[in-house]
Amino acid sequence: MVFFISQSLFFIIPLLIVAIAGMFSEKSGTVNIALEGLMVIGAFCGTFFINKMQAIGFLEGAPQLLLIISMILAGIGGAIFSSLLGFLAINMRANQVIGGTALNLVGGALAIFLAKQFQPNNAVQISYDNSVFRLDSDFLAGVFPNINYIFFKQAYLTLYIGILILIVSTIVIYKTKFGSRLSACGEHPEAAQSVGINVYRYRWIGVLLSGFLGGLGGLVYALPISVSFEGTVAGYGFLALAVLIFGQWKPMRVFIAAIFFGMFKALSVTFFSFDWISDLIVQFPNVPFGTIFRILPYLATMLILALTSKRSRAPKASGIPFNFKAN
Amino acid sequence: MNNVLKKIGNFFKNLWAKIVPFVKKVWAKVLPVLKKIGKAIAKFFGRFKKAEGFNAFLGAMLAISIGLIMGILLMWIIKPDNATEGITRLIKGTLNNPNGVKAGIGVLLLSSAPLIFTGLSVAFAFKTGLFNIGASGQYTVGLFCAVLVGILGDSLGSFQWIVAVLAGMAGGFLWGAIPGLFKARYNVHEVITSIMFNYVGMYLVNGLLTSNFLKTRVVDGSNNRTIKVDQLARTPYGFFDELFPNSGLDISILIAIGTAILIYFLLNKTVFGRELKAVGLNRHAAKYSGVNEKKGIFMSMAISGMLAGLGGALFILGPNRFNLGNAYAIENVILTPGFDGIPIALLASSNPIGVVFATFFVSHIKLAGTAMQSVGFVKEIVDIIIAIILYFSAFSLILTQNLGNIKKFFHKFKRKKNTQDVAFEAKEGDE
Repeated sequence: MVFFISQSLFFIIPLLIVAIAGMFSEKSGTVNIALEGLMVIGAFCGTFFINKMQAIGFLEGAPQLLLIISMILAGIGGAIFSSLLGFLAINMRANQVIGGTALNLVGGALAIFLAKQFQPNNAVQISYDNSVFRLDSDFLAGVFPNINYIFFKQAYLTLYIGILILIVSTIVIYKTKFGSRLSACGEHPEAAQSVGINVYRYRWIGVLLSGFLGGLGGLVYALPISVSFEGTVAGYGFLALAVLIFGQWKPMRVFIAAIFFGMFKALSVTFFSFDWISDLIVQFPNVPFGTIFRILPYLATMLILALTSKRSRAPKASGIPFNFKAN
Repeated sequence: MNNVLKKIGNFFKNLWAKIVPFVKKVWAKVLPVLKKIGKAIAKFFGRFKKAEGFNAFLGAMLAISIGLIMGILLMWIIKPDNATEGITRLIKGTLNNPNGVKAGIGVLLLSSAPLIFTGLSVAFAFKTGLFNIGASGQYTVGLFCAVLVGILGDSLGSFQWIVAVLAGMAGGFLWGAIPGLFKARYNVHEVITSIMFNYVGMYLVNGLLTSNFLKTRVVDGSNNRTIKVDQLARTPYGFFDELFPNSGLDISILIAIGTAILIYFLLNKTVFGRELKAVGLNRHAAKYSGVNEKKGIFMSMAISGMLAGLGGALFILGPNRFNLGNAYAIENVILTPGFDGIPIALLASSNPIGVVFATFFVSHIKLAGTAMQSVGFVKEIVDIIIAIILYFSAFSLILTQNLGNIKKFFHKFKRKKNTQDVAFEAKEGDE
């Protein structure tokens, strides 16, 4: 059980960050279907930097600092990449779903291409040592060994950064002038414009923020679960999109949705660690449990979406290009 | 010596003096003719300009050229030494085939057939206002159903390949129908459902193939791929065996082109197709005018899935070169043909006939990618080019619609330049 919770945190936190990334963009009125591509680009930038720095021994004594720098780099990579979406969706007023799909394809191809071009032997895998980033602290180890294992021993700094992003973005969206204006641009841009808000600027900020968090989320996803990045995040960006819809574009509900999906996703890799599931596998050798647990997160998403989509609270002008001259 | 030079100089001077008036005379005669021809060309294209397809065609050409230029620039930056050879191979594409042009065209057509189907699948959904990203999953499920019939359906005799194709269509139909159902009944966005079903389909197919029952019958354990389908289940070569010998081309390309024409007629000449298009243009208006819009959404997703499934079935049933057959590798990776369908459909502006030509272009450039590898370029460069083309075709329609504005802009620019020139000349005159 402890192992399961610790594993599911590795899935929950990136889902949370990337879904919040999508939220910033959709709140401002741009559908960001390119989350998958943003994650790939961010993960590529971050892991490539870590790979190179670990090779030359840069910041060997301070791995957490290296992690923070590479996360910022991943975010910047994502933000630059998302400016392509911003240009397409805000300035050119093109179809955002198609543009986002194009960026997903660009992201996947670019990451593999660059990895092959800049690595010896045309290798796709960018390998890195992720064990040095583990917090590995003995805090509370004597009193609550389980909590120590989950939150301090096996955890990464990314866990706390994810929670920080959740709190900050909740405050920003609900308690600041910027947040209200951002939401106004997604709900009714004409009204926002009539009171003197520059809709284009707010949409651009929304998209760039989304790109930064999306790229960062990509690295947060790639780092703990593997020792190499292979140019794909396995449909995680789309899962985050589903989390966003299930969370009804509200940060706290997005967090709950992320926990739900993250648990299912973790179950698909750790189901054998549960005794009762192991017993079931022994009892029914003909039932393909592996396949069932792999499919389960997607099916659960579908079911939840079917139940919640009827009374959707999506930003009303999300996906509709804004034309200044037409008003 | 000087005299000689002078003489020669004078000779040329005289000649020049004679030539200039002559050229002017001829030019005066030719110019009206040229103007007439120009007007005729303008008129000819003007007729197209009124047609809906012209802007789309222009937009596609624009997107393709931008994509190619960007790709060439990228190659130039990365490996300047090999760039010339690489670019030549990129442009030659199909013609890189070492066995000659004929074999090259055969391979091009062979690799085009599945892509035409996935392109048609995406294009059909687009025409009815839906975005089917799930062509990949539908393709995989169709492929799986065809494999099952192709390997286990021995008792079907010479009908085996036809039944296998139909089974593939049914599989794709089912896999497209589920997102359609979710969209029509529960209003879940089809992009998310269909992308989810890519993964569900892939994991399900892989899980079923590795299950106890099928593992021994359908899968070749030594390389973790499906075994080749029975001889009777393979699509026939038809007359292509003689036309393009040893290219492996079978009749699937004919079926693909036939399907494209069929879909064109379905969308434009039948009540059913018109209703589907009406649902796509405005769901509420269609409902108001008596169309069952929920059925429309369901059917268009299902037919879209069926097309992708047909593509998968025809791919796996293809005999390939020397009748060796195709195989499906059991890896947890989503198959790419489904995703290739998206740029194809967009390049063609969702026109079913256009899909065929767009597919030829994409296959051509993909074949170039394989050929470029031997001169030190990674073949993913082609994927980048295709993605850039997709990116620009997303707003090329807007660009071509605003072509008039761009023209106006250039005219303004010209006028400005002219006035500048005049001012400059005036200054010179003053001096």
